[in-house]
Amino acid sequence: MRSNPPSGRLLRRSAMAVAGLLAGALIPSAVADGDPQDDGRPDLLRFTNGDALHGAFRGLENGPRLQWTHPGARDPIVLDTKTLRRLAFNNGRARASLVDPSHVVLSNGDRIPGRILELDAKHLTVETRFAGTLAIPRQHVQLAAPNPHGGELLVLGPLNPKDWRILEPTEPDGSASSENDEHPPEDDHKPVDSDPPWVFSGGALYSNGQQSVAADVQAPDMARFRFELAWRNRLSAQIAFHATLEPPPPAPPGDENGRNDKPRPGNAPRGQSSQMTADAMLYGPCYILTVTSGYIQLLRCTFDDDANPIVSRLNAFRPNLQLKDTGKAAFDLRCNRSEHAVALFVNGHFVTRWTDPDGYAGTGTHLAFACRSSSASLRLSDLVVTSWNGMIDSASSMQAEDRDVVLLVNGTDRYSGNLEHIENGLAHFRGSYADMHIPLDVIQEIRFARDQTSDPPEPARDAIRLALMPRGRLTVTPAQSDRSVLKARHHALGPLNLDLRYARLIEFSFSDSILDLWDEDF
Amino acid sequence: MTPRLPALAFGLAFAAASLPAQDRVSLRDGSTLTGAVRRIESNGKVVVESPLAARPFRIRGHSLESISFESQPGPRRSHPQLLHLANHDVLPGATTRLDAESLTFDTWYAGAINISRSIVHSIDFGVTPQKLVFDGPGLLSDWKEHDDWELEDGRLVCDTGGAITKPRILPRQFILRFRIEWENSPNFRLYFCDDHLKRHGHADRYYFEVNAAGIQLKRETKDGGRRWFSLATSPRRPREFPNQAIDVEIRVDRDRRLLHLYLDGEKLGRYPDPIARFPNGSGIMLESRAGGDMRNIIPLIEIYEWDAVSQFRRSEGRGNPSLDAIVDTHGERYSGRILELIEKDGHPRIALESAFANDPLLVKIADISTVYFKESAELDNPRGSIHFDLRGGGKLRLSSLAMGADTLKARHPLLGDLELRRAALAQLRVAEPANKE
Repeated sequence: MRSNPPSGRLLRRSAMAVAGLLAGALIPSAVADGDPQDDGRPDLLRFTNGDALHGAFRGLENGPRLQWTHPGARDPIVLDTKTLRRLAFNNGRARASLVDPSHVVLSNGDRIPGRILELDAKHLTVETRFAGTLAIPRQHVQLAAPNPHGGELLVLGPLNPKDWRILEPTEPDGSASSENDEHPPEDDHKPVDSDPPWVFSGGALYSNGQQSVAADVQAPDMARFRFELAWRNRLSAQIAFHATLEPPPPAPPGDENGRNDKPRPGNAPRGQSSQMTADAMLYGPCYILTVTSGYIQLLRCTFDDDANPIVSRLNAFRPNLQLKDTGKAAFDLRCNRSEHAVALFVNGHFVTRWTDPDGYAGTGTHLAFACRSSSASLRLSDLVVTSWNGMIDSASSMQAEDRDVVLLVNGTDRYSGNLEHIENGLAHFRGSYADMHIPLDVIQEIRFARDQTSDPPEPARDAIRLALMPRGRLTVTPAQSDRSVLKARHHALGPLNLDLRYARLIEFSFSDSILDLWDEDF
Repeated sequence: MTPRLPALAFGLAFAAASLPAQDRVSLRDGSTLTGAVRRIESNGKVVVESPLAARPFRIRGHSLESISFESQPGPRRSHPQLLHLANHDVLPGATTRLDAESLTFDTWYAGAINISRSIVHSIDFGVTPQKLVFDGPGLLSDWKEHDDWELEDGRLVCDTGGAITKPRILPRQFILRFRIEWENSPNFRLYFCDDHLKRHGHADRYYFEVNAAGIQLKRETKDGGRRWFSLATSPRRPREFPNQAIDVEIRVDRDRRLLHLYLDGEKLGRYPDPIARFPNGSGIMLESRAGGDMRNIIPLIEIYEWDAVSQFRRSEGRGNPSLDAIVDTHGERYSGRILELIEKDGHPRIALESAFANDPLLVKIADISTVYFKESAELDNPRGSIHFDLRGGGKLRLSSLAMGADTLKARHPLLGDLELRRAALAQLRVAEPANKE
């Protein structure tokens, strides 16, 4: 059971359950407020042995050692950072959020949010809110993204649990049901006061059961949904998109045609299971993408004139993704209402494309996720919803080893050549056919020639990794810090003074293993 | 929609000159008639002269499925460019002039055609010069393990169960084209990307299968619980193809793990391989599974190296409809305004005005994969009712057509009056008219 014990206990587990059934449409966190706020939520330390400690971060000193205060302890606690795994600021949400999505990616994977100012033969200059103006040696720059999302950015998240709501499972007739009635018997062993169905933690949503979580992402007719799913114990995910989250109203009662006041699941087409009917009642008209470790299918949910749900499987080649039992993957769904088409990319590779011969079924703007296996868990992160230009094979498909590549925000144009300099908002580019002067406003990203990028060094033994809000990463060697500013050294950027109001996490021990990254308890 | 001769829209008459006598008329009930198509009357009836009949006879338009015209002797015609009209008609040819308003497209079948840019969607460049790796069937001795397959008049034939193989023939990226013909009913598989080259046992390979039940492209695997995955299924059954024959084209892009399938020149789709490890085999195997009075016939099989990168770029689409664009063979793409075709340093080049360059970009024709022209707002993309398939690729939908001994006088809804060479006509189909009076 995951409930917050009374404050004052030294060790406790914390989780922020997603707000249940919030009334009305929810406004997604398209752009979070950039003004620093301290809402008094505690910081949390996780230790390498699994212990956790709430309280307040006070700073780092030589050693390095961390200073910590707790209401239950009179004096500051000094901790050896070798024993620490992670520090979550402000319940993992930082006290301030960066507004501008533009960023630079370094060869070691660090992602530096900031506004790109200048580039010359040696340095790329970036203005940041958390570290001032940085001059990054060019050989460490892998990618610069002045306008990274292409299309119109609609949602970046999950950043705030209040943007999401838990969907109560429904009976096929549209009425609410208990979870035990809805789900297979193996859920029966769960205690009545079980964990919240979804937990928001550290910029991700973690599932604890099979209920769905949904948000109104204002998905347009031509929409692109990008997100990362991580899973434990075999993937079994359900993604509903362009959903209304409500079935159409039932037909008027008792007319001469004998219409009922409830949908009639008995009229479901052959092959439509009761679970498919219930899903349609839950999500309304929409498409449901079902992803398991072994296959992918797309279901079309509509309703007939009597409000009976009609769920059918769209014909397409059914790929076997062969995803691992525990792992993660980046999904990219591209939808085109006017062409009745949906395309799926996984980890950057085209998987399949469905065309709906009966017209586009999704009439809503919501996006929903569910884990459909009682023994599995799902983590949703890095959600980006944008408009889409409708092109299946986007500009990002171009790669070059020995030339810089510029991709424009229109999603189609891409040039290769030598990016000579950036000045006064213009990128001066020696292209294959002409010298070009391209406003940064129209550049989605610049990929620097790989053969001119230096290999990153191994992180120092005492290196720490900062996660910035909403997205950003810096791997540094700390020198000293108070609650607000961290003095540190970066292998490419040199000495830095980092404003910790924008930090949501400090990782003291980091790896890329999904098991290490899986941590819903901050 | 099943093609059908309209009662009124056709309105043409063929001159009764000395027409070749090997045109093939296919009827909807599966009948085929060989003879000379003399004319098509205004009421839709087709007049056929056959050596089997004492005098010319008429066939009702609604009974007609298609007319395939006899191939004329002479070298194969090909052009390096494909021009796509706004109404999706396709013309092979070569661009010889281009300015801000129009272009000249030189063709072997209709001479030089002046075309307004407002009706052109795009031009694909460098389409045809693919390196031919194998042109067969060739001699029987060139094949391996040819049990129960025989060579008859240059065609591979088998009327029982048997396989014939050709190892180490496929490039990494390739186009495999073949024609499968049959008597009574087909039952045939063609395996590719195959080093196993045996009818039994498990292997990592693909096969195309056609039998009375349908047509499928499948992935066979030796890993996991499933022996094969279905990649593509055609909604058409073999009996729905005219002349008891299907032209099959399979394009394999191993770098992107994609397969493209075309049947009778129409793209059925592109299909990713469901298994991460793409088959690396380089052999092919033809397997006949005929029984009874069935007979499988392979009169043609060709293998080309394939420039899959250019094809990948061509499938992107136009993008912003208010701008022209050039996609080059390296994958770069430039939007702007196409100015003209010029000659510089001995190379024809297309000049494009970009918002981000002071001078026009000059891109060599040899470096261009596709040119897209901006969309015309006024165009309603009219389409003619007479489907005219060009021999060697391309299709036109004509409003009217009149046939002479060597030439055809046609009216195209966008191009206007055309004079086409009779030898260019591969197949004629007539769409069902909107008004069924």
